[in-house]
Amino acid sequence: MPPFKEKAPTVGASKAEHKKHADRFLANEDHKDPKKVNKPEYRDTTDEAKP
Amino acid sequence: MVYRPAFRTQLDGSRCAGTNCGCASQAMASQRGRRGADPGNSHGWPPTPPEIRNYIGACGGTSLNQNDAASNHLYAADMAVRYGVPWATFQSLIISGRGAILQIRYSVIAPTRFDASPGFTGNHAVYVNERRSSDGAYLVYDPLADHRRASIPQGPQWWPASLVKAAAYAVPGTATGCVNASFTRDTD
Repeated sequence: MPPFKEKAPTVGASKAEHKKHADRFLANEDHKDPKKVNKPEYRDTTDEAKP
Repeated sequence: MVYRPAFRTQLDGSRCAGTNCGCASQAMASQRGRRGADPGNSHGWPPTPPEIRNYIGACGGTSLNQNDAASNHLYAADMAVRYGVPWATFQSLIISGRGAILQIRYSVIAPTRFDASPGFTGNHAVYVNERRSSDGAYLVYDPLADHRRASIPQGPQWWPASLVKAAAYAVPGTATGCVNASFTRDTD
């Protein structure tokens, strides 16, 4: 379960409400660390695509 | 009107092109984050995938933090790297005025008309610029969608929200109902 529990505004909410929610989320330090929020098998990397 | 960066392909013939999806997505995000304004330093402008790759170094997949560090150094464009972002919050950050590099699993894209790398099913990065309020679709810059063959689509394209969400959820090990992304500054 993610540490940040605040419910996001609905899509029709004002931009100001979305900005406030965004700022509060980005201030949550736990979401900067993948180990605190993701499962152990998570890899923070991309793979090689086919041309 | 939301600022739209130029599309950058990862398959530009440069070093490590096959693994430059993160670098190409970062190039587009950096341009958005600066609203196209050259920082006026000693590095190139506009941002390019090879310049970002050369800063990162050896070939191979890249992380959100590696690309953020390159963007800061080369273009003075800081990103907010966040993991386990609830989908509704991701949506809110886009609506609020930010672009995002989003990690996705290409196996979800492969069976759709948006597939730009037949046979590829692994972890991938795309740049998401904005959300369309009329239908909730997202303007996605897939660095593979360069129309290099007639069967390959040309980005950017409007992807249904359900597809963006499913592809981001499918990255192995991601928290349930969440995505992993790196956000530009608010450019509104």
